[in-house]
Amino acid sequence: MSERDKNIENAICDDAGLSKSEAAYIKDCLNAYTAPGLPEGSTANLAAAIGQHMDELYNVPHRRVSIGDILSAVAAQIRFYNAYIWIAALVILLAGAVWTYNTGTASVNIMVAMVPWLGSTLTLYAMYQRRGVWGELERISTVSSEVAVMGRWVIAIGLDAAAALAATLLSVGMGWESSFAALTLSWLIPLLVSAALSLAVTLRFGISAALIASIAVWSVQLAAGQRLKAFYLIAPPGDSYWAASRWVGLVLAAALTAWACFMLRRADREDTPSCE
Amino acid sequence: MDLNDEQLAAAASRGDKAAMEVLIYRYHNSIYRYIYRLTASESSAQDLAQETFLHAIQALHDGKPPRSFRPWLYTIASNLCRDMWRSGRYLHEEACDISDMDVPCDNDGAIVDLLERQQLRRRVIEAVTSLPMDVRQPVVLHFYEDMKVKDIAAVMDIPEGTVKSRLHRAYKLLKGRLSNDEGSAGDERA
Amino acid sequence: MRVALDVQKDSAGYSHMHITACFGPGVTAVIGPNGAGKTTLLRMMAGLILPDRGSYTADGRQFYRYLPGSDAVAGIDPVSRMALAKQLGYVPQSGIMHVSMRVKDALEYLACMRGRASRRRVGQIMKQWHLEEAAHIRLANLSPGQRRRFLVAQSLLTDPSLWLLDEPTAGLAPEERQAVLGAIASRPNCTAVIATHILEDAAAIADRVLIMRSGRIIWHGQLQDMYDAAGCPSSAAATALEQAYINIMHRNNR
Repeated sequence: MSERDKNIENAICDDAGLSKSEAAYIKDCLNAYTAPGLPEGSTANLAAAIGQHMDELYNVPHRRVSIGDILSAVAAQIRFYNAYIWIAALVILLAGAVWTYNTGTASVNIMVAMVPWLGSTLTLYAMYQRRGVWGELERISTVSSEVAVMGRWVIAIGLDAAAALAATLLSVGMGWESSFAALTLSWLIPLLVSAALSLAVTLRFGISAALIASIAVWSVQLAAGQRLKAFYLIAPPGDSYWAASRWVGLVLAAALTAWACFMLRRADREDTPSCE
Repeated sequence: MDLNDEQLAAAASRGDKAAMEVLIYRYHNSIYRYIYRLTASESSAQDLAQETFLHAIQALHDGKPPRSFRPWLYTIASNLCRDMWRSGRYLHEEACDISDMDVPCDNDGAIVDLLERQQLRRRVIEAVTSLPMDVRQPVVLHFYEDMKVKDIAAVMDIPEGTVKSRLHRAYKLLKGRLSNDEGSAGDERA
Repeated sequence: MRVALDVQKDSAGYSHMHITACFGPGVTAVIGPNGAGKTTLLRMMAGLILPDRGSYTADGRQFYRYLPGSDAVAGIDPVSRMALAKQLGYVPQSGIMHVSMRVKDALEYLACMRGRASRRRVGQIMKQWHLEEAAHIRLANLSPGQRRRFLVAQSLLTDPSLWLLDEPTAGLAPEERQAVLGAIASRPNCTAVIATHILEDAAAIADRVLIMRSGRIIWHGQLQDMYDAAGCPSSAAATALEQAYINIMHRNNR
């Protein structure tokens, strides 16, 4: 009897409380239950597979997600805004600046009024693309819905802001407006409000609702004008409630953005209305 | 330098592929045999053995090197078997694949002996697989993996006393089933 | 890639969906009547929708994040998402894409979203799927055949080891169907899961079959075993598979 057999017999007696003869009998029987060997080379294959897996696991950089891939995915959002859109945005705003100069209305700066409109249009355009089949293709990505949508939204704002900046430089350069900072703030705040509004309403109620909301809000702004006092967000510089309305706008924009972010966090759970 | 399992596991958790490879070569066969005896299925055993090491490296990567490697590895394997059982054996459909050719080679190798050993093997497999899982596990670990009661208790997360009583029950059940069968097989031959 | 799912979802169009399944290399066909949940299953595997409870592991890696102290699924683990996106190919059911991007830009965009390695494959994939002449057509203006080729092509950008196809051959002409089926059969190391109601396709390329009904899997196993399980003679003819499928469905009715 081998060393091992002797040991196992003793173990059966000690641990299971069986007699020597019972242990011997069981040992002989159980020894007959041999296990088949592993196929040739399977351990080597397993070692190779685990090695590869470890490569993946351990080469992920210190921050656990690949920043390069995230940036690449976010930067890719720019592809939504092709050259025509850039040119159109620029043309619209420059035209707005010139028109403002020509009409010289005190209560409405056309360019300033157009900036948020453009912002909401771009946001809706970007969100519109996320519907249906294409939306599903987009969501197979290394970044979450959250990150992709925020990236696209920020680029929409950036695009609009860049065109608005150009128009502002034109206005100030041509002497139609005196203060660069004041003019910038005049369009920047409503732009943020408008973009945040469009994003949040799209996430919550869908694209059509966001479109209606946008039109409604900015129509009221245009129609009621200075009667809105501090809520007249597209007030041109020099309006009496201009400073107050900057603050109101900032708070609104922050609240709407926070709401949108909150909804995006839950966007993974089910399909958002805009995506069906 | 011959490192012990825990040192190798700690190295593997830091990304040392060579250390992990040593552990794989050390334990692949035993884990495979263990799962085979729990599930009586070669293909399940091959797949689950692979999964065991995948889970192990994932856990090591997540920064939890075990204090005692061998029981920990067997625990992973046991949990995978239990999960497979719980979801109704969805991994593989084959019934008990009992390979008749896998009999231990005796010195004489007479045909009659071979047939008898094949029959015995089949009876033993049936007896072992008919054991309920909570006693089958300890007996497989105890007999085939030569594990001490202390380690079995660690693998199954039960007290040592419970391990002993289950072993007692398991061996008693096996003895009962194997002697009964032998009685009836003897009658057939005669 | 080896994938294991054990998920439950309420209010998925039927009372309760509970799926437990495991997929490995080879082709698995998921068949069943409309509304059985085949598309939901694929979308869950692609990470597009989440179950209420359960687990999803890909190559041993947990995919979901959980609410603390429960098994209610809260979201997707970002590292797992990133890893999966680089190895996943998903072909949705065909439908008009309201996107003004052109085919080439769209493929490059999707490649950017799936990891830098995918970008190198855009040219080769366009050639493989005869999309070069359509490179400058806007997605919204593609013909159905071109659209289907685009959907299959984009799924191959990652050189996927998990390839999910939802009705990939529905409405295609015979040569195009052959092209798609051939592409699926030519990737033996890939875990391919195809939802289809065309039993001919399943009979032609599947290794394993899953039959679904009302959000549950009512039968699963090797293709050959399906004939045995249904008690009918096997043959590669589509009618045999159809008969087997009908037998099993009837049995499930009782």
